[in-house]
Amino acid sequence: MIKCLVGLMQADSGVIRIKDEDIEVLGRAELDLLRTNIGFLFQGSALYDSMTVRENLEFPLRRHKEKLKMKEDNETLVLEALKNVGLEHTVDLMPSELSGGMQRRVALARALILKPEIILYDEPTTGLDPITSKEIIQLTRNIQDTYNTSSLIITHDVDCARVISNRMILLVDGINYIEGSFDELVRSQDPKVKAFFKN
Amino acid sequence: MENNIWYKTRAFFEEAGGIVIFTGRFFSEVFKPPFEFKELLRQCYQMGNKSLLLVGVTGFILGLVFTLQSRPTLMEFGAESWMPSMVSISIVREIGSVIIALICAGKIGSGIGAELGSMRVTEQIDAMEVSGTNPFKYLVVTRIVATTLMLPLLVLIGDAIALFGSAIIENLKGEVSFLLYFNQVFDALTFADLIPATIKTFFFGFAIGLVGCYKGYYCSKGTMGVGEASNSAVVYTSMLLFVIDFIAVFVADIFNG
Repeated sequence: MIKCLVGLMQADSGVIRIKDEDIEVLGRAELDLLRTNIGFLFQGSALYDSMTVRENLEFPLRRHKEKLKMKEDNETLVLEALKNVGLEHTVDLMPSELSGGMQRRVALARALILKPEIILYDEPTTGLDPITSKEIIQLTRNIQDTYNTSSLIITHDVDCARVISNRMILLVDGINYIEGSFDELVRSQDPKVKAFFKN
Repeated sequence: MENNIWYKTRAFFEEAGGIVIFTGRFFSEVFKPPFEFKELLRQCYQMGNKSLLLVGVTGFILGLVFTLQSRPTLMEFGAESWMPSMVSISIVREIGSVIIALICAGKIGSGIGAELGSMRVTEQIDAMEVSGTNPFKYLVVTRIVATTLMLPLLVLIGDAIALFGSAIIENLKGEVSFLLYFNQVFDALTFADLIPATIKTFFFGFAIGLVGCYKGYYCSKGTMGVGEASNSAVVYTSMLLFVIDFIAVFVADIFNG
């Protein structure tokens, strides 16, 4: 679903509208411009492994800095994005030199570099140890406040959902099964919902 | 059994159709701005400069072995003086370009297949797409243009080194000076030998880049898929090189009358 939202996959049916634009009918240039308004954090971080952290963060700026009328130079934008995830010191390192949690944070910095209004998170805590997961959850929360972004998070992590979400949708077999706040869903008597929150 | 044949035939035509569509997309993107010159230069350096040693060694050994193997037969007919002409025409027209293209298919084609394949399975290509960069233009167009431009240069260098290797053997075994050897080489070679052979290498380079990129770009999920992309890039390119070579020789023959 999350890949359909940014046009990486085509939806089988229905219409996807982001900021009043139907993404299915947009041309390449318009879609690229719309994508600059959407940050995307991939499950496996998806950092470009042949580039340094700096080059990873500069990559989205190459084509869109002028269009978005960003006045700061690349160095300032890169360092600012890295500072927001607490990793300024990694700017010249290669992704392979970073731990899993650091890679996820650099990926988040890359998703933020164009200052998007919406951020999509694909399993942000998968594959991370509990402490790093908590750090990422807290970071996500801070970013929401600092950048004033809307976030859509796909997660199986109940802790993550509890801390971050204002509204939750529980999907069962790909169908929107139930919707509400975390507290509403926790109190639900539906057996499938109860099973999800049991532990 | 019947099902298996049907399945393989269908898979072959699907693959061929996929490559045709991919080629069409390449031509529709290659002349359209924005152009990725910096990445193109980087790829030219990666493919050209970093293949030079392999091409040089291959060319040198090719010249040595070819001359050593041909000498006894030519001596039997008292035709050693034909050695420079024979070696130069064989290498420039056919053997040099085909062998160096095959070597490059192994090195460059498999490298592209593996690199793009691993970028696909680790979602790096998707990450490029969502950052508003056209990954086809950045990754595929630059690589195909780079191989198309670099292969002719590599073949020219490889051919020259092969002739140098041949001259060394002639100098050591037949006491032929380098000056005399290369005088005979340039007497024997004409533009009619050089031009079709060089044009052919642009197509070789294009095929190496195209198949490597196609296999990597549409790599199936998982590490096994990356291995398969890399492996099949070499196999398909090698077959395609012989087909292109046959067509090129056939067309050149028509023009030569």
